[in-house]
Formats: sequence, structure tokens, C-alpha cells
Amino acid sequence: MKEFTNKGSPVLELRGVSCRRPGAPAPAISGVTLRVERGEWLCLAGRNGSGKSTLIRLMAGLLSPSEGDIFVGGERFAGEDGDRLRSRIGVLFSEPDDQFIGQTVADDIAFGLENLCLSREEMDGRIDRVAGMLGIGRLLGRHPSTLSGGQKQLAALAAVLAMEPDILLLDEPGSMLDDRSREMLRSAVARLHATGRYTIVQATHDPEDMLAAGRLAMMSGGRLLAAGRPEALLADEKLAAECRLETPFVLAFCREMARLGFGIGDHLDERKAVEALWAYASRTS
Amino acid sequence: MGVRFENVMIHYRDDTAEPDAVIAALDGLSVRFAPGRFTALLGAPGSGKSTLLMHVNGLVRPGGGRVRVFEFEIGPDRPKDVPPELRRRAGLVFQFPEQQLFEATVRRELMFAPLRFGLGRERAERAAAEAAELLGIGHLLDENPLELSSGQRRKVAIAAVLAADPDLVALDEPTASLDPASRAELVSLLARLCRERGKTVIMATHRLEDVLGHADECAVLAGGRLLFAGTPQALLARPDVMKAAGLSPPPAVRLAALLAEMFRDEPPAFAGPGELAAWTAGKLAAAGEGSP
Amino acid sequence: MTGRLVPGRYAARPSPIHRRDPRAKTLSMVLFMAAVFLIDGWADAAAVAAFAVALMLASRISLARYAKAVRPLLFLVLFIALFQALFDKSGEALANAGPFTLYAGGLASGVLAALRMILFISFTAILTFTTEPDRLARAIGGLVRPFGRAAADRLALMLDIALRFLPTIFEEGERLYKAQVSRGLNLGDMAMRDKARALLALLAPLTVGVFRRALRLAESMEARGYRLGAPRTRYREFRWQPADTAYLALFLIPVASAFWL
Repeated sequence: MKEFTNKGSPVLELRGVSCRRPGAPAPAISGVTLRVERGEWLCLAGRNGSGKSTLIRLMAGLLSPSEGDIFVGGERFAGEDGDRLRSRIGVLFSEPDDQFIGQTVADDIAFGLENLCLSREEMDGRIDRVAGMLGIGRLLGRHPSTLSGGQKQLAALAAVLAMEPDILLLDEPGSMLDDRSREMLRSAVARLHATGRYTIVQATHDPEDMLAAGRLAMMSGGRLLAAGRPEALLADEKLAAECRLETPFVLAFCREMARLGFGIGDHLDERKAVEALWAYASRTS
Repeated sequence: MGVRFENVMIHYRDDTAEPDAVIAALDGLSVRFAPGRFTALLGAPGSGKSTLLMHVNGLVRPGGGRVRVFEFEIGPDRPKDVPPELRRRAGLVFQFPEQQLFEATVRRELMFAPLRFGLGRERAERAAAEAAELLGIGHLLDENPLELSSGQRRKVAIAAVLAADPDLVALDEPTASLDPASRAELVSLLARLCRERGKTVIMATHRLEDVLGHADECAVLAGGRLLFAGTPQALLARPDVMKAAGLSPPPAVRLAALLAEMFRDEPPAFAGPGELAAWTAGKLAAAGEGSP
Repeated sequence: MTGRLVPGRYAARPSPIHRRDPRAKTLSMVLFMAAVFLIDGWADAAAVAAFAVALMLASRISLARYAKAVRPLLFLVLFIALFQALFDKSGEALANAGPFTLYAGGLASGVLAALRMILFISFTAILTFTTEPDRLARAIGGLVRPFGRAAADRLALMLDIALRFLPTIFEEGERLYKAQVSRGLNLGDMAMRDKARALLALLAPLTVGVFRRALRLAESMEARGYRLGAPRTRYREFRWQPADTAYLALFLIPVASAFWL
């Protein structure tokens, strides 16, 4: 594993970043200032077109800001040094098919390693390691057309992890998948986060992702509207509506209970809500 | 009338498997879709939903059994060519339909189907405008579909099928990859099509919560067979069916079930979090009074 | 549903030919072409044919399959044979049909020409029947490498990506066709002029889709460190073995026979 210093500064920082595509009437991103701390799992939420994907691409160095600065580990992301900083960042996109180059999963994981000029032995070592991490060892010899969407995304994630980044950017990785595959991907990401070795920024509109992550930033029209704990942000109905999200049912239920005089706290998970209810009931009886 | 599948079988060869595997996509499926109703076709990916839908406008012929759509009959012994009238009356919207857009303006895109089905230019233009109004994209008629947002392109693609004024609208995962608010918007629109215009709507999805509150009927598929047919409420009362089909009840239902367990009562009927909270508050208050 | 580009062409068998380095097999094609070109009589034709049949048998794929490979080009074979037959006016006249006269020499030329074509086509089949498409593509890239590393690597990657995506694009085309047919597209019933416009309904979205795919793929590649012209190592490399040299050397036999007989 590569060792990265800069323990003090945030891993990723945007200051006043705007991004305007040439010929576009309005900027895709305007005036975004955001800090991502080491080891965090931050979700970016917002409707399609709010700028989530553009923000991810800016962070990945695939796009350049027209205004403002982007810092990776305290260093400005610019010019010739860009590649060295970019090597810390891995990106997973939403289309399972369009990230798959090789004839087999192993070949595909090897693609990035070929770019790193590793030897065959080193490549085999990394391939086995990431396959083990994600539990896809039995998929290594398979052709992409024989994989489900969820399996393709896991394979793509393996290919990203094999490059040994410490920052993972996920652009709505589950949006093209069915619920079960999305769940599979989500638990894989959760396991990665639990190792403490990765800082994760994930664009999504799935409340389950936000619940798993723990910090949420909401966007609309290219602007960052708010950042904080999902329970707090999602309970704000106006904010949720602006970002085309719905306040999750359980959270809304907790808020209603509080209004009726039964304060059980804010919960996104129904089991936690019921536990809190039990606790409340036994306290007051 | 309506749509009826009678013991339909269709197989395909999977030549990536060694030896070639013969997969039963539909295995003796019998199901009825009531006319003028909104039926949700539920099941995990691979359960046969897409294959079923492709029978509805004659794109695919069953290898065994027969399919009756309105007064048309489709079976293995029937001629391969399907009358264009069936294609018009049974509108099929594929998954990610925005991939099929190609015209220079939304208007021309919406006129494609009516023109192909023999409506004159004038009538086709009117049909296009109407379909656009239905989907709320009337203001986009002169835009280039490729320059619209993905949500808008989805609406254009659906309007393109509705422009031919089909009696039956079958959609394959129309809410795939949409954000939550857009999903809700689309499903209630489909429900309106059904109620206000008497169209038969069949919506295939793997997400039960998308259709809860809108669908009149549910048909659940697993392994190419029908596992369950009935109302959504009846389905929710069958956790075994849902598990076998890979469906999960929405969080609201799960919460209500847990609360019912807690208070040792039946879960209430509720429309929103407020009602469920009121019921719970009532239970808590009653419990408080009851204890010594 | 189809995992390989052209299902049914590559047939896996445990044969010594299958195991050979695809580069050797490709180069051997060149030698075989030379041998076929040098055929000018029955003796050398027989020798080269015997050689070809021996190799086909060694590949453990039925001769019937090789014969089937010739079928689509049969018209071409017959055309060439006929042309040669009518062009060669040596020997005694055999038959007459209007302005055309068939001579003995012409008959022989025609048959030899047909034989040469058949040998050539069926031997090409040995290459495609015994080598997976992606390995073949890599072999071509490998053979071109001495002429320019960067360009050869790019070519190899292009072929690789094309092979990976062509099945996907065919499937997408199929889906698009079904979708447009559902909207009333009926190619059978249309006048030629309308047909052309109607094909646009298929080709335009397919092209847009392919471009989108390409852009997304490029992003993924860039994010994984791909840089044009930069040095890269290879995960899969062919290892040339003595058996491959021997295989290539074998082909001197038909060349020599065609030359001397």
C-alpha cells in the first residue's frame, strides 16, 4: 500500500469551484466549496442534472475547473503534476458495460496495471488480492457478456482498487442496477470504508446509500445547498423536494411522532426507530 | 378481452454455456391482464418479465400455448407477421427507451409512430402535441431530443409510444435509474392514463414500492412462471411469495409490521407517515393508561 | 447472449494446431499463400492439397466443417474456374456453347484455379477455427510491433476493444430494431426510398449510442491511467516455443513441392 502523508489537511478540497462547458448557457457547477476528510464516506445527492456527475469528474481530474481550485492532500491539482495526484484517485462510473475493456475480468483488472507498467507477477498478485477483497475470485475467467450488471460493477470496482488508490469516487454506481445488485455493491463499499484505508465520495439518489455513508452534501442547479448528517438534511422537506428526493418514510414518521409529543429521535432505519419507541415506552410507563 | 396468456412456453439457447443450455424464459405461464386496469408485473431480473412483454405486441411468438391480445391471437401455429393494427393498439416501451431517439426535434420524434401507422401529417401532428401535453413536455416540442436531460428524454420516448394512441401500454422498468421524485411522477401519470383514458397499463418492475398505491393488480413472476396474481394488499400479506420472487416490502410496510408486532395488533391501513404516527401515538397512550 | 464475436467459428479442441502461437499460424498463412500461388500442375496441386488435409485432420475438426467454410464463396470459386476455363484456349476443343468453346487446356486450367481457391479458403479456416478472435487480434498487433511500438500497441488495443464491444453493439442494434418495429417500422412493406429513411431510425440512435459508449469508455480508461503513446507492459503475452518454429518450418514443404514439382 502506498503511504500518503498530509495527515492534517483534508484529503480532498474544493474552493469556489465553478465549471462551465464551452457553449453552455449556464455553468454546470458554481461556487462549490467542500472539504472531504480522510476516511470519510460522503454522499452527493441531487436530481439528475444538478451537477453531481460534473463534480465527481472535477475531483477525478477528468475535467478542469473554469474558476476556483481543487486540492488533493493539500496540493493543487494542476498541470504536469496532475498524473501523480490522479494516481491516488479511483473512479467508478454508472454504466457497467462501458468500463469493461478486457476479454475476461482478469484481463480487465490488468488493463490499469499494464498502464502502471507492472510485471506479470505483480499484476497476478494484485488481481488475486482485489478479487479476494471483493469475493469475485470465481469471476476472474469470465467474459463480460456472461456477467450480470452487479457483477460487472464489482469487477469494475476491482479494477479500480487494483490501482491502489486511497480516494474512491463513485458516480451513481448503482443507478443502472436492480435493487439486489445495488445492495451487493453497497455492502462491498461499506466493507471498504470499514477498513479505514479509503476516503469515499459517492454521487447517488438512493437513501440507503446516504444512510450507510453518514455524511451528505445536497446539490441543486450546480450549487452546493447544504452538507451535514443525512438524518438532519433529509428531514428538511423543502430541501429534499428541491433535490428531488423524498424524505424517507421512517424519518418522516419519527418527525411526526415528535410533533405529537413523543420524541424518539431521528432515524432512517425502521428497526432503530422501533427500538427507540420501545425505549421511550419503557421510560414513561 | 384484455390480454391473456395461456400456458405460454418460450425457450432460448444460451450458447455461452458449455454444453449449450436451453433456458425456459417462460415456462407454462398463464396470466390475465384485465382491460382498463393498471397491472404491475413484478419479479426479479431474469424472471421473464421482459420476455412476457414482448409477446404482447407480437414481437415474439410463443413456442407453446397462446397469447390473446384484444381480438388477436398469437401462437406458434399462427402466421409470423403480425397485423400492424396490433402493433398500434399494443404499445410497448422498452427499458431505457431514450436510447431509441433519433429525430431532429421532439415533435418529429413523436410523429414517427402515428405516421408509420398511417395517420396523415395533420393528425400525426395533433397526436404528437397531445402526447407531449400528457407527459408535460409540450414546451419541448421544438427542442433536439439529444440535448435534453435524461429525465426529459425518458418522457419523450414514452410520449413517442403514446402518440399512436394505443389501447394497451406495456412498459419495461420505466422508472429505471430515475431519481425518486421522477419515479413517483411517472407512475402516477401511468395510473392517470388508466383511470382517465381507460387504457390498459402493464408495468414491469422489480420495485414493489414504486407501484404501491397506484396498481390495481399485481402479477408476480419467478423462473418464467406465475407465482401470484392479486391485489397489492393481498401480495403484502404473503411474505413467502415476496421472498420467493426476490421482492422486498417498502420501508413503510416494514415499519408498520414491526409496530404491529410491538403492540400485538394488526398493522393499520395508512396513507402516510402522519397517519401511522397517529395510530402509534394512540397505542402508546392506551398502553400508558393500561399499566398500573 | 453470445459470448464470442462470431459464434461457431472458433471450435475448441485439444489439438497441436490449437496450441500453436497465433503469430506462427498467421505467418504460416503467408507461406501457404505462396505455395498456392506457385501451383501450376497436378502433381504440386496434389502435394499441397495432401499437406492441407493432413493439417486439417491434425486440428481434430471434421473435414465437413472445412468444406462448409468454402460454401459461402462457392460462387466465386466457380466464377474464377469458368473464367480460367474460357480464357485458356490450349489443347483440343471439347465442347461448344454459342460463341464459347471449351478446350482441354481450359478445362485443366479451370479445375486448377478452382482447386487453388478452395485450398486457400479452407486453409484460412484453419486459422479462424483454431484460434480465438482476441488471440488472433493480439497476434496481428504482435507481428506489427517491430514496425513501430506505439502504433502497434494502439492497433492491438483497438482490435481488442472492437472484439469486446461488437457483440454488445449487435445486441443493442437488435433491441433498437424491436423498439422501432414496435413503433410501426415495417421495412418489408416500404418503397426503396422510404426504406433508406427508415434505416436512419436504426442507424442514427445506434451511432449516437456507440459514440456515447466510446466517450464513457475513454473516461474510464483515462481514469485508469491510460495515456496515448506511454509505455505499458502486457498482461497476456505469447511465448514463442520451439514447436512454433517447427510448425512454421513445416510450411516450407508445400512451398518447395509447389516450386519443384
